[in-house]
Amino acid sequence: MTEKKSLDAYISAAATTLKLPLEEGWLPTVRFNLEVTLKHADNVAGFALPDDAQVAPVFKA
Amino acid sequence: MTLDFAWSTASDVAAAVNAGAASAYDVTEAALARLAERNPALNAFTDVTADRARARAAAIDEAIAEGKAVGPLAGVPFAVKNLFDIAGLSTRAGSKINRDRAPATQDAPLVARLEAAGAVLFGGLNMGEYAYDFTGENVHDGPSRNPHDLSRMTGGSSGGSGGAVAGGLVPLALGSDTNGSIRVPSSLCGLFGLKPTYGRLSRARSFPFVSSLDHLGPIARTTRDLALAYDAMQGGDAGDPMTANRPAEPTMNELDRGTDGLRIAVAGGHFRKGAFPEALAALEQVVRALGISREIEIPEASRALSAAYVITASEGASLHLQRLRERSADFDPAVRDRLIAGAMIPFTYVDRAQKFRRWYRERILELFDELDAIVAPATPFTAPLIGQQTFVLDGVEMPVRSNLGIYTYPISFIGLPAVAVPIPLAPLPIAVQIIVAPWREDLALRIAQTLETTRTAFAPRPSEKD
Repeated sequence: MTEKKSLDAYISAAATTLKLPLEEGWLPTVRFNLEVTLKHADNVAGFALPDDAQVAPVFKA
Repeated sequence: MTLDFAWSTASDVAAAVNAGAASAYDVTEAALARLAERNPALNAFTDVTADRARARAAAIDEAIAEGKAVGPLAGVPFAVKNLFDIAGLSTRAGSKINRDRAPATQDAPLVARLEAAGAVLFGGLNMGEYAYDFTGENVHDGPSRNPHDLSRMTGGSSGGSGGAVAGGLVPLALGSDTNGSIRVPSSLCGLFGLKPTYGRLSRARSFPFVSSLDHLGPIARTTRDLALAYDAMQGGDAGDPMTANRPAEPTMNELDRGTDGLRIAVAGGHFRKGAFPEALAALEQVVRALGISREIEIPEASRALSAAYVITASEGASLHLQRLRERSADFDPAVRDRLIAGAMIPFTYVDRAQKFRRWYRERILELFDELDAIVAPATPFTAPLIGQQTFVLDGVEMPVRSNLGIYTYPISFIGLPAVAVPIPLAPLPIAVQIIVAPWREDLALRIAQTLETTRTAFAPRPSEKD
């Protein structure tokens, strides 16, 4: 399965699981946005953090 | 005393009204006439609360006639991005969907605080749908138009706030800034904009986007007007649990202290990449005016952008999940498709982004042990054309939308305060960010005031040759 087909399959399954509507014409833009976001996500995931790193879900300045 | 109300500063209007040299009612009528004349071209206002403004102005004049103190913003027209609650209006937040909501029963606290200081609310302002936007375009209400060139973007998502202030409709507006939505329109419209420290100003009764990143703040044509509004809005509020329990720290009396002794550096690395010559020229003017000789690298700034991007996509999708399920056809398709994609980001990535966020915060706070302020571009280029999707830099075609915020994401990501200061380049202005440590808005405003005093930074008046 190509990377594009694999992502399309993921989007389709996620939409069904999350009960989100997904018309065929929306797929290219959703895929584009997901690709961009996953690229950013990979950029973050590639950063080595200690195992005891704590989340900052609510940021306190 | 004769004032050209359209281009008077908030400070000048308030001084004239408080001194009895002008009535709040006359200021209001002049501003309403100006609004009727120019808003069709600028498309900045979505709701005009004319009756309310007239009633409020009349009450101010009556109070002054009775010898009562009215406040430091006496008679100053202002307007707010339409995600702020305004009593009697549905808070649309740039969307079609929210117009079905019941009208707000109360004003947002920041609106109430400005009015308590004597200001006069003129209405709600255009914005990108649900604030997920850097352009100022809106498919439901039409695009906000840049007063310096009506064919160009205001920047967003506080597009109407930028257009209304730069276009001389009001001297003061409020916006919101999740990843840059005050600083981007300030840059593209040539204005001063303050994004305060996360938790400084109450966000109660405003429509959220990404709670852990959302900030509210003022946009104006001078530093002094920013400070006037900011000082009037400070103070805790039980209505927003994220608001810090800190006493107000007024900045107005600090403005003219100059920059002697302040340790200021310019940001390199990420903050130079992707910058067009005009962004670098504006930065250079600021560097020279402030005598900056030190360049620093904000560590992992591009990764901070990525982490903010991921958190935004995921939290934004969470906020709108039910609306996406039930009313997907009523969204701006571009916003809908971003939100649907955001809903599909695995939590694993969001968790990593939140953990990185804490690491990044600690590193940046270390920088402020030896620095008072950092200057960096606000946007990589001046206002693009409305509808423009891409631009070319060094032969590479890149999307406009996501790149407008590349220098603002890494700052708001950890809640740092920043003031955007407009550098009046021709033909279009562009801003530089003055970034300071948490709770030191006073320093950023001081530096902005210094740049304004030396005429390095000021809000240029548009030609209005439509």
